[in-house]
Amino acid sequence: MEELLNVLKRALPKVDWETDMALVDDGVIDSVDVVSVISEITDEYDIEIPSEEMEPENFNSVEAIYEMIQRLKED
Amino acid sequence: MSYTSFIYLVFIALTFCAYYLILPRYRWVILLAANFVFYAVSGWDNLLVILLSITASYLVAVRMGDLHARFREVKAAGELDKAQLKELKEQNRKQRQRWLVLGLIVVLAVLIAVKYTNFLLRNVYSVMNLFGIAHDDLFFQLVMPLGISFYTFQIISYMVDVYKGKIEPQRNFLKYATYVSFFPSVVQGPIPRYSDLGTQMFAEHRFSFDNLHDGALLILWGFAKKLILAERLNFFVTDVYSNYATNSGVLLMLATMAFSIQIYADFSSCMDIASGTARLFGIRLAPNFLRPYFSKTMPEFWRRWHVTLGNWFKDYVFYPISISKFSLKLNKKVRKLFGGEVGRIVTSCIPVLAVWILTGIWHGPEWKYVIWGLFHGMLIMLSTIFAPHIENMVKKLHIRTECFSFRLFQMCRTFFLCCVGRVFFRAGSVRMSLTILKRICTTTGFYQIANGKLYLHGVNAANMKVVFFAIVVLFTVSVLQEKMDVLEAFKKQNLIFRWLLIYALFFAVLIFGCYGPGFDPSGFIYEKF
Repeated sequence: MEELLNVLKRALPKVDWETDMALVDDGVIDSVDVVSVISEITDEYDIEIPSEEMEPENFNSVEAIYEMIQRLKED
Repeated sequence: MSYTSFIYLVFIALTFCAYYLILPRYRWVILLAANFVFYAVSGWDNLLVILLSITASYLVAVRMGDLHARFREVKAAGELDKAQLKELKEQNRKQRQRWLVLGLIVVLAVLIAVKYTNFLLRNVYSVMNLFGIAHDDLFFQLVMPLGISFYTFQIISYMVDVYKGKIEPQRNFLKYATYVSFFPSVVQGPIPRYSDLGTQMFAEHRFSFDNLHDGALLILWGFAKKLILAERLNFFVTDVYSNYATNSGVLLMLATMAFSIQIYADFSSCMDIASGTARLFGIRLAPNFLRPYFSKTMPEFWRRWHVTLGNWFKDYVFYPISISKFSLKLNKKVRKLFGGEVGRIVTSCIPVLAVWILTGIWHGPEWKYVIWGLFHGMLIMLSTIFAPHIENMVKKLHIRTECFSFRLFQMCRTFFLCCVGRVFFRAGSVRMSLTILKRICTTTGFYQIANGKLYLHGVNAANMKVVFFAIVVLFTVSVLQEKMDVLEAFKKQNLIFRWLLIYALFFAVLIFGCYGPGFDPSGFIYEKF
């Protein structure tokens, strides 16, 4: 999780990743930011994010992103 | 059948009675019958076109659903190892993809054929003229089915969601037809998702006085916005824009601002009537407007204006392009060469431009809409590029941002930028738009609005007062909506106060509404799309 947090901070340094739990729902990050996040995590973890995973709940928090990555790795 | 006609009110009253007279589990059948009547009134040929899209998408979705089910069965049997399952999953995906492509080709071919054939021909002839190639000016008299741009997008979202496995296909053809042709939303949206509307539509709805009250009130509010405000502004805007070559910059600017208010009152009134009608049947449509003119930036404006179309483009165009292998590879390369910020900008530019060109074309087969789309695409991109720089500048200049005056400045700036785009939207052609913009920038001509001359443009002094009062009411309600759920707050008021307001609104529509014999209503702006 700590490693992911660093990756996300690198992608969007101004976002409060530690405390915000509804980043997409609250409009803290927009669709362009989501793409930046995807770009970083696909690089870092060598995974592909299929379009069906493009749901706000998968990008609302570090935990949600972490769970999505784990799910995709298992697949 | 116009949403603001008397016959529409009779139609929904009859549908409402029939709906609650039969058993709850069969109530959707009444909606299907109502959809059929509503659509057939617009022309039998229109009905055939929508039936073609419904049938094709139904068959494709069922096929994709079968493929999903087959994979789930094999997986549940547990006879294959992980590698075999992965291979089968990929095969299954490819099969579904072939069906999806087929479905998309059919529904998009129908849309392109009826909406864009003459536009394409016109451009082909222009190119042929350029090269001196002789040709006949052959154009087709094509039917433009009611709401085709809206229901085609609705169908595409349904097929893609079934393809992804996000929803199960509707296997009852008649139920699926009810979903696609739902008469309150088929003409101008909101563009629904099956996971939302499909679930609600076939649930067993019981009669509720709350739904009747809320639905009727929303319809009345929609009538007021359309008939009192939007129609009056339409007279003024049409008059000024018709004589754009001689009207002064100030007058043209006023008309453009008036058009911005008109289009909001017009489109949002239709959404109120649509939502109100759906509410009568116990169905809640997705909100399409979230007080867009209070937006502080253009990206925010587009999250609050025509919300369901914006979400559609985000989910079915922006993200698929953004997360495509090509985009992510490009992003990686650019980030390596120029750093993260540039990479972010470059990769967002391609999908943003694609979204906005398509949004423009979606609005109509004319170059002015393409230019309008590009204008907004450029604004969104510039906003992305300059946002951090502006933030730094604001900090260095010690400008207070957490105060009303700064927010007001941001809202005015957004409204102004929006007005520039509206010129393309309202003018008859790109050339006309450019002339209007040029006249706004180069001529003043205050004399054209002074000494009562403003009232010579389709709306006299008395009617202008009505417009002004209506804008104040709309603004006040919008401010309240920013802070609370106005409908819920209204319901908590005393009975006498509530009925006084309802009667006031009702008589305002009766007395100040533009309708009746001899009056040719302009129709809703978005129903042409």
